[in-house]
Amino acid sequence: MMRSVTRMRSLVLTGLLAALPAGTSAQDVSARAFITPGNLVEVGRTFILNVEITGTQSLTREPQMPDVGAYAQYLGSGTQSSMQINNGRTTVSLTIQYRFQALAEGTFQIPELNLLAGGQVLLTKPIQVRVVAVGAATQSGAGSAARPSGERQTGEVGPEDLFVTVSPSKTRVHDGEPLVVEYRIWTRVDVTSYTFTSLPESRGFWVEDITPAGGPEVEQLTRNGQQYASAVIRRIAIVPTGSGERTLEPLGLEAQVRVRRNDPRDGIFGRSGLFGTSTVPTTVLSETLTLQVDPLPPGRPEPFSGVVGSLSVATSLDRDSVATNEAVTLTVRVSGSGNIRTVPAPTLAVATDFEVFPPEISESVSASGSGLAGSKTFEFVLIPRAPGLREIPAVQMGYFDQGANAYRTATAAALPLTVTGQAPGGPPGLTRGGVSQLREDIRFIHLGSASLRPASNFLFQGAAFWMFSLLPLAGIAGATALRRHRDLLEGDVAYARGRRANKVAKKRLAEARRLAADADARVFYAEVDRALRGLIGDRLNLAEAGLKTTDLETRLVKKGAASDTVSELKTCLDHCDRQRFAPPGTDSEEKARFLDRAGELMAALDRELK
Amino acid sequence: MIRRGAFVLMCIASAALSPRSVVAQGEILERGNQLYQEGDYEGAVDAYEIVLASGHESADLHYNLGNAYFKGGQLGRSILAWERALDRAPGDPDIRANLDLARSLTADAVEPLPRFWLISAWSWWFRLVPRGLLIVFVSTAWLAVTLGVTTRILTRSERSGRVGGWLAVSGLGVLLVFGTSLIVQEFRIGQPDRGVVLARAVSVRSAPADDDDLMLFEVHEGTIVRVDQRAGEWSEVVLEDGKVGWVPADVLGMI
Repeated sequence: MMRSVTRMRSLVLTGLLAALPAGTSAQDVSARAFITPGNLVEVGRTFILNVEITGTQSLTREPQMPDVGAYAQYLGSGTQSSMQINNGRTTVSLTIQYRFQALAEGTFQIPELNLLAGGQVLLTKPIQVRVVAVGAATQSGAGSAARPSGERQTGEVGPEDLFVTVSPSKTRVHDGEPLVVEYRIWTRVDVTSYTFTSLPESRGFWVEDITPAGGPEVEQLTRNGQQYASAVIRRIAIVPTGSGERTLEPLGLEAQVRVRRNDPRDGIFGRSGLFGTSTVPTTVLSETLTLQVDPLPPGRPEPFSGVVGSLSVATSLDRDSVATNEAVTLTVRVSGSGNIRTVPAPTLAVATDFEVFPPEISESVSASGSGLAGSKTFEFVLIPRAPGLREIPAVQMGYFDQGANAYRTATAAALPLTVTGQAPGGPPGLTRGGVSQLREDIRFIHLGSASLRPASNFLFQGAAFWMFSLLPLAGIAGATALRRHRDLLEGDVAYARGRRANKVAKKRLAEARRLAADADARVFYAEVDRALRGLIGDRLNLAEAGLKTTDLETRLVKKGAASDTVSELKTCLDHCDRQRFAPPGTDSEEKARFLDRAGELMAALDRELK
Repeated sequence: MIRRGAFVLMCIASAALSPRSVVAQGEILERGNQLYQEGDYEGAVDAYEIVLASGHESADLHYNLGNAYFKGGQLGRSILAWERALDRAPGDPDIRANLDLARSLTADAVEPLPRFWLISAWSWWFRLVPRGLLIVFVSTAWLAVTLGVTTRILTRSERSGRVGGWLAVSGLGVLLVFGTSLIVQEFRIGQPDRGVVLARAVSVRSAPADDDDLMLFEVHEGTIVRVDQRAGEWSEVVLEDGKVGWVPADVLGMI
């Protein structure tokens, strides 16, 4: 066991001897390793691996800390140096101390340690260490056999003076059923402080530390007929996760125990005062706790909360009526005993036109009796997307009642909710949203072939274009000619008479043809004469009445009529004059012949008098 | 006599507008559409190309050809066909949508240089009205002008003379405005030759020679370039961001 007092003492000695001549420099350097208090260690107790180097007080290289596997736990290390004067010879030494706490029974070997001191490489011998069950070492009596001289002490702390017990609230539980484990320290010695060296690992368990806040309350208790100061130092609630035999690793702690020192070498300082007591670090290990975890019977309800204990569910809405697309909060409160913390969020079977956001979760869990109790609150934000009288369905949660050894289901009643507002377009029960593009693709081909046309279709080519361009122009030209003709007819009498001459003459000739059937030849010839004279008068724009035959001739020749036509005209006119005064009785054949002649003459005149 | 002449003209015109071969090519086009719907895109491409080779075309034909090339994985040729279709039907939203999609798949992201606003306005205006509509406008305006002038010439009443004059003047205005557009479109005035890169990747060189030292940069399939001049087998191309270089003429498909 390490004693810090020793270091202090050696410091004092060194200070006293500092004035001595240092004539003892040439010393042999050697090293050895040994275990204190002995090579036989009880589980939970501390042992110290000492590496003592004699002949020097400086160490160039420390040995590597040995690996002790699962048998022990390393707690810390320290060094102490000492100087002894024997018959004028000064011996200096340095001891490195590694403190371990034995954890598991068995035998293991500390290998040879390699270190460098005083310019030499030193090797220690390997050491065998045996860890035995509590009490076995004292029976064998080997505990003090290896104790080196000068390490004796009176304030030895025995296993019955200081120990830690573990007490579960029950040793047979169901899977998922919480239980409380209490670690209690019992002491008959003066413990000033303690620290945990190893806490049980939570493998296979769900652990909740429920140690009361503040320092442990010390009480006086009697155990096995002995009076102890006792205190609960740790209290945990554990929930096994999985069935079978489960073990909870032991709890290790190191206590600082104040003992009265009884060392003859310390006599010069007396027994009282500052150096009258010393604090001895002592390690203790609790027992290993074994639990039998039973699996839950089959036939569990769905949804199952995983709680073994009791459960109740309550739901509430923050308002009874909400507008469409506005948020309403649904609070689901799960309370009861058991491992409430692991209750999963309930699945809300609301209609699809409700938007449900992930819940906000708050929980409060405390120890209660032999287990855990508390509540967990889920706050869901719901947004209804369609109006109407809606219902928040009932929330159910299964649990295992270990008292009745049966499954139960906690149920919260359904809640009505009035959703006001306008119904969105589209069928009810569908959430409206934008049309989402699943993938991109080109648009489909254009079907049909109606618009095909020759490729080299230049617009300003081809008959159609020119026809279309020029035909209206031709129309304009025609219109202009027409307009001019009409203007002439209106404004120029001679032009108008000339244009109309043919028409009038033909009319007269037709009249004459009608008269030809009559007996009176004079009327007929008078009509033909009128037609001929009228035609010429119109054409030449002369007054019809005063037309002399000779006068006509000269004018016609001037107008460009052929002399044949003029002489023929003269013949015809003369013939008419003659027949007008001739006796009646001329045959109709002759009249017809003369009409043809007159017609031909008129055509010739028409042609020549342009 | 006049009636007979008009009938003969009509016959000639109708023969010129829809010859027998158009009907036959329409059947091939329908066949191509059917192949496309059955998923035989290569067969559809063949059918469309036969129709094009026969000297017939339409915006829809180019559009369908672009679709078939696209489905067959020929991005460059699909862009070329769609650009040709867009040239013939500038307002078609399907063509624009497909071109946008295809351009987003091309390897070269060319940032176009900002254009002088007058040029943008010019090209916007002259591409605003599609050709067919322009022809309708111009023809109607021409008829209105001639009709107005004729009315004005022939009419005796002052009122119808005014109507004729108004008709002629407004028709003349429309004729000038849209006639210019039609002429610009028809003669492709101010429209540069454009081409699409058909090869997967083409090295652009600083001079028309097959020399690796002249290499300037690389363009990839589907990139649209302006072709400024040609020298033998080479074309000088200008990218939309202003980069200039020479490429072999056969890697380009002219729009």
